Amino acid sequence: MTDDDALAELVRARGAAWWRIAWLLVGDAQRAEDLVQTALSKTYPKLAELGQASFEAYLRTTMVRTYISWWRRAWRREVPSEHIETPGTAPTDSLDLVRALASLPRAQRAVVVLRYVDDLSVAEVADVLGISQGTVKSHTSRALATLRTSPHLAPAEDGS
Amino acid sequence: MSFDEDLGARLRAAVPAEPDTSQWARGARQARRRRHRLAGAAAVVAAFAVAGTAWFTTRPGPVIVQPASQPPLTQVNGELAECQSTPRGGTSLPTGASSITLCADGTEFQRMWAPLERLTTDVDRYVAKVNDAERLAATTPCTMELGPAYKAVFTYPDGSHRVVTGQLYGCRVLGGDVADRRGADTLFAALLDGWTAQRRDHPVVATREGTWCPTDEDSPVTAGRTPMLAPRLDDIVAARVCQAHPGRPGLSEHPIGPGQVDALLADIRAHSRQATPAPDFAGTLIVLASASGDLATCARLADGTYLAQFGGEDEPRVWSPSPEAERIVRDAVA
Repeated sequence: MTDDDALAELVRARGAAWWRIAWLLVGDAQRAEDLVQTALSKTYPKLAELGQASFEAYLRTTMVRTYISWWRRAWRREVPSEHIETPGTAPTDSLDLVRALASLPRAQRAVVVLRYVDDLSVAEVADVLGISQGTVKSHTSRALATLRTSPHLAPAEDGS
Repeated sequence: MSFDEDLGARLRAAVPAEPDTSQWARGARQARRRRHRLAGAAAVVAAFAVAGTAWFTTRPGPVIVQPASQPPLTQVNGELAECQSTPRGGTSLPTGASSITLCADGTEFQRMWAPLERLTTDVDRYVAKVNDAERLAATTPCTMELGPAYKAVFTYPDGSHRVVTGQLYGCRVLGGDVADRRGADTLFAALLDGWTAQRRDHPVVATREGTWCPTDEDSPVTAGRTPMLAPRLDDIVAARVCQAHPGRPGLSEHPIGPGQVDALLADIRAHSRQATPAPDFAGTLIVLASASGDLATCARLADGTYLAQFGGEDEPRVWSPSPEAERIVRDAVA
């Protein structure tokens, strides 16, 4: 199998999962695709060298750091939480949750997505973001506190 | 179930149906090629570089024609010192600027090499271009495809600076010490035209200080920089080899002597054709410098050829080095 074939097969198998993480980071389908594509274009030459498992970790790291870097250094027009696209089948409280997520600072948002959606440990999140485990914990704590008290979640919290 | 325990499931449920991913692998390869082409055939990755440091250091220092009223041309990290200026915000530029300095900016991809002299001709024309550019609404959606970015530092007679940032991707946003506007690409083109015209009247001789090789700051994956003003092949006077080493970060930098630089240039002229191959880089760069300090990069491909883009040429060159040229590069690294 050529490197190109291996990449195509991996993207077919895992691309949707990467895109879901990206969507939760950026809140927009097209930008999520841009984020995955940008991370892939940076990393795919390493696929053969790293193997699939390590490559996925490398890709995730690149994707999340690119996301933070975009907003920190260049990207000026984040989608306001009121304009998060409607998932269609999603329950209202989940949509509100995504809107609340969009109101978090980028690093906190990345920590929440990696920990609660990608199911990474504190140590793994610290490794992906290049920060200490203590910082991951403090980001998590602050993010959850913000989410719990978000006005977007006020109606949903009654039943949780 | 508590809020925290339920959080992941609720977030997963909120994600819309994923798009078709069947073309993403091809798209990623094309995006990478596009960046490399943009970076001027040279761009990227890890390996060779040629140079002429020893010869260069025997030459006089920078001989750049600039008005005596201008501050000295001090370099920091291979750029003029005023490139260290950062934006403080603002709405528009005041008129009366005395010079403009171009600098690389921002994104991980395609950091650029800026010219080593200031533009001192007709400066207020560029102030007006910035101020007259169309304002950009805060809600304008722009692509997130990364690309090169620059800073134009406007210096005023009292020594103060105003920084205009320009993104050469997405909405081509101008920002920094002015409110967001469109037109970063047209301003950049106009500035380069201004520099080119000024050089016709005032030739520049300068040596770029510091490393010419890509650094970690340039990118963990792609490494080369593209010149804002690409030197012509006939203008090259020096070269360095940047060599990657397995298992070791960074590139080592090795100068090539002036006689050998001439031999390499003759070899490039004799054994190259213009083409745009897929950039399958093999970890060696040759960085070539003109007398004005502008750098061009020759990147080794997996098939042993080198890819380079020179000023005044529409397409990159693919150079198939002769055994003698290969020996020169090997000897520089040894």
